[in-house]
Amino acid sequence: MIKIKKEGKVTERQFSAIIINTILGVGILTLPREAVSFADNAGIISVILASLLSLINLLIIIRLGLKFPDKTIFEYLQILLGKISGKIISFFIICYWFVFTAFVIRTFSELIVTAVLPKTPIEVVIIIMLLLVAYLSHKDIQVLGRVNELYVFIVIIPILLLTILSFKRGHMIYVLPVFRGHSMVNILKSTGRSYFSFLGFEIVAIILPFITTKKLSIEYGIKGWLIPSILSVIVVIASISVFGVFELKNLVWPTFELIKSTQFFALIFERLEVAFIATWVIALFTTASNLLFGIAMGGAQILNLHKHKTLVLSLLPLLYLFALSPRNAYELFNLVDIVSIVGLILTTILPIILLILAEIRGKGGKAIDEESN
Amino acid sequence: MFWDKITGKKNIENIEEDKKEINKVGLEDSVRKNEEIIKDLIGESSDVVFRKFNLAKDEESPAMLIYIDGLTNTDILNLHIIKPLLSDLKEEDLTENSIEEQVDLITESIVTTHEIKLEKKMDKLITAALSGDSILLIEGLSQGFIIASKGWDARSISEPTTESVIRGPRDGFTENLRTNTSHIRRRLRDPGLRVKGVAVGERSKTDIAILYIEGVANPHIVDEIMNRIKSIKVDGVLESGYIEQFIEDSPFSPFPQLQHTERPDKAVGNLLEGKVAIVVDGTPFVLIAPAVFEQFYHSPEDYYNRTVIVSLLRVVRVIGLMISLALPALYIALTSFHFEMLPTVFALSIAGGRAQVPLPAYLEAFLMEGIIEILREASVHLPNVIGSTIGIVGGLILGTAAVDAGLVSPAMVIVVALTTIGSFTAPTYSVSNAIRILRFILMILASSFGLYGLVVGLIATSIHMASLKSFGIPYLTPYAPSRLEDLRDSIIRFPLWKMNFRPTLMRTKNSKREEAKEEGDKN
Repeated sequence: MIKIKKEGKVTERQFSAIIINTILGVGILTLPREAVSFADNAGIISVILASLLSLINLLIIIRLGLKFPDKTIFEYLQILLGKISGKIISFFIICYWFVFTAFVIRTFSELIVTAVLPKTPIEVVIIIMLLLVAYLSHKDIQVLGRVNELYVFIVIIPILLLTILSFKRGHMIYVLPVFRGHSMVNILKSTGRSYFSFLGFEIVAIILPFITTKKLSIEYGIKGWLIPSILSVIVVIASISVFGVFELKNLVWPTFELIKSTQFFALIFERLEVAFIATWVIALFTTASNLLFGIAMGGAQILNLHKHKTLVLSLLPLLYLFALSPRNAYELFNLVDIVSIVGLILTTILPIILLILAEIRGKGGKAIDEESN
Repeated sequence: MFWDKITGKKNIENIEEDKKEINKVGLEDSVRKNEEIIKDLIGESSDVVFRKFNLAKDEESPAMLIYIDGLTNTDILNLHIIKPLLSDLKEEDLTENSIEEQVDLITESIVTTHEIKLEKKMDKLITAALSGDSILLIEGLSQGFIIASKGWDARSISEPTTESVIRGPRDGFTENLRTNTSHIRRRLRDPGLRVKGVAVGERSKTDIAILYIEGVANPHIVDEIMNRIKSIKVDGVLESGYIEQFIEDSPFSPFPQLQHTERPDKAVGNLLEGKVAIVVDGTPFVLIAPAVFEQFYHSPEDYYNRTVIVSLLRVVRVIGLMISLALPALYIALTSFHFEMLPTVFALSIAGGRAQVPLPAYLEAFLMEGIIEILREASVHLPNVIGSTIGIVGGLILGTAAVDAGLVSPAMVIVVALTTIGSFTAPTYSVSNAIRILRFILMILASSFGLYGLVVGLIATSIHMASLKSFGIPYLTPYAPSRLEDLRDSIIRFPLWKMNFRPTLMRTKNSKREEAKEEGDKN
């Protein structure tokens, strides 16, 4: 197998930044609606539960990755499950990421076309985004880390600021009481739906072997999880407090509407949602390019290619077709729901099984020994 | 073939062949024969002087001094070479002594210049003569003396014209290599300061000095720079820009990857940070490598003024650069795509200004930015006498006449003015050039896709910058990869006593700034 030198390419801070930027994508734009979809006011609880679930899964993946400190998930899958079944599972993960990326790009393009550029064909918006994403993904992982690091605050600060400002118009009466006699089942259903906006953290499975100080990966992994989680909870509370649960269920882009209705004092720009979308292009683009990097890397490792670059450009047309495959936003959202269920199953069940397998068969320990020799 | 013509490969091969021929030539022991050889190699040039004289009064003992008129100091030639040779050398010295003893005599007690040495190879002799030294040939010796006699007219030290400061030293580098290195030595009495000399250019043989502080600069970077400079294949080096283009990492990037400065204080400051200065003979612009984007909006004055005001100035510079980068694109995006973003009153006044303008906003912007670029380019080449006239005419055309004629809106004039002024807030000229190019790309993107296009363009720019490297140093340090220690000298400049560590990005050998001094105290 072709060995790419992996040591010391991504700093810990960049590692956190990659997690934050991959999680923050389109999910948070629809999160308030998903959160209240079944659970009404208890949606806040659902979001917290979803974020905790994602934390557990994140920690399991990091734990698993630390057992194979110089291998990505696509490499240790083959060790744990054997060559052929490992490759099949790897292919499945890549397919999931692929569809996920395509739909993320499509969802955001829908938003751009509806909100900012009504006269521009969606195909053009998608193509531009794809070219930009490919430009980053075909670069080295160091560049990926740097770009993520550069943008992490530019993504977080505007949405945080605008959300906090929107509390001005919020009513606590919409938020409380959190429990209005909803069954646990409904809360869990909402949790499942909210989980979509936390997906993306599984990118650590491929970034982990590149991190400089492996010891700090758990600490910085938690840091990377914490920021999007806090942001999500704040956004959900703000949305509920401004719109109320019943209005929220009917909004297509609840977070976007929340920002749209916010007025920022002392700024020459009105209608800040355009500016917000402009910054959110960054959030989306980092999500998509990190995932595309993961896809290309995984594909290269399955196919024993030398560089991940070769795959990026060849995947672009396919990604374009996939992004265009849903006929309209409604169909898109339905498909996204399916993808998020697949993501939920994949990120929750697969790492646990793999970790147990590694523990039982003692494969991981051996891998570390081999490395130290 | 064609490619060879473009790249000039053939040319260099020819030069190398010529060089080999010269290398083969040795010296004869007769002055007349040597004269012929040299005349053959150097050709009949009016500024090459062959001064014949006879060392002994009666006997035939010819000697010859060869030098280039204009490159040599005639006082040295007259008083320290020719006069002692003719008056102090006695006849018996020549007749009684062997040729080796004569050589010793001449070097040790006759010629009174500070440097004299023997050389066997003809090509070295000729190079020495061409760089201003003089060659002394005597009968019976198949070697030649190289006597230091350099002295030519040079521009005196004057204030740098490109990087002016309000507070700070007024002296600048000149075209003379040695003056420039002495500028640095004078400010930096560190025994660790190394000045490595290289000659680059197959024909021009330009002297280049590479300066760094031993024990501070990262040796890998120094080696890399030395290697890159030594592997340059070019016939002539006329300015440090030649060197810059040959050794930079990404030649097609709009961003400069080496810094150039006319200011000795800036060069010394960078040397202390562990960087390497490259001084090229014949130009006042000294290169500093490696360079990161951060330092392109730093001015040497930043360290002479007080912390708070400097931090404010740096914020102003960054805003100026951003305005000059993105304001026209933002104007296009807002006026042609997102008019609703502007507050009503503001939108009305802009719409009112644009009511009579026949052009769409993007054409208007391209027109005005184009005119400004033409004016800017013209003003560089204009003779000083006409310069101010053109400034007034340009200002009138852009400011008043165009608006009165209804060709452009007043808002556009403000945008163009801000853009142009903004680009000059950067103390370094080269970075404002990079921004000039990118501005037009962003304008094209904004006129096609509005704010979305603008943001996509900015992201693409930042990806490009993140992937750039200057001698192994990522271009966007200390932001990405983030180095919290180095952020002390970024947009906010910490007080000098807080900046007691050298930038970590250079991976310097001793990172603490005061360390050298403390060690000295211990010793």
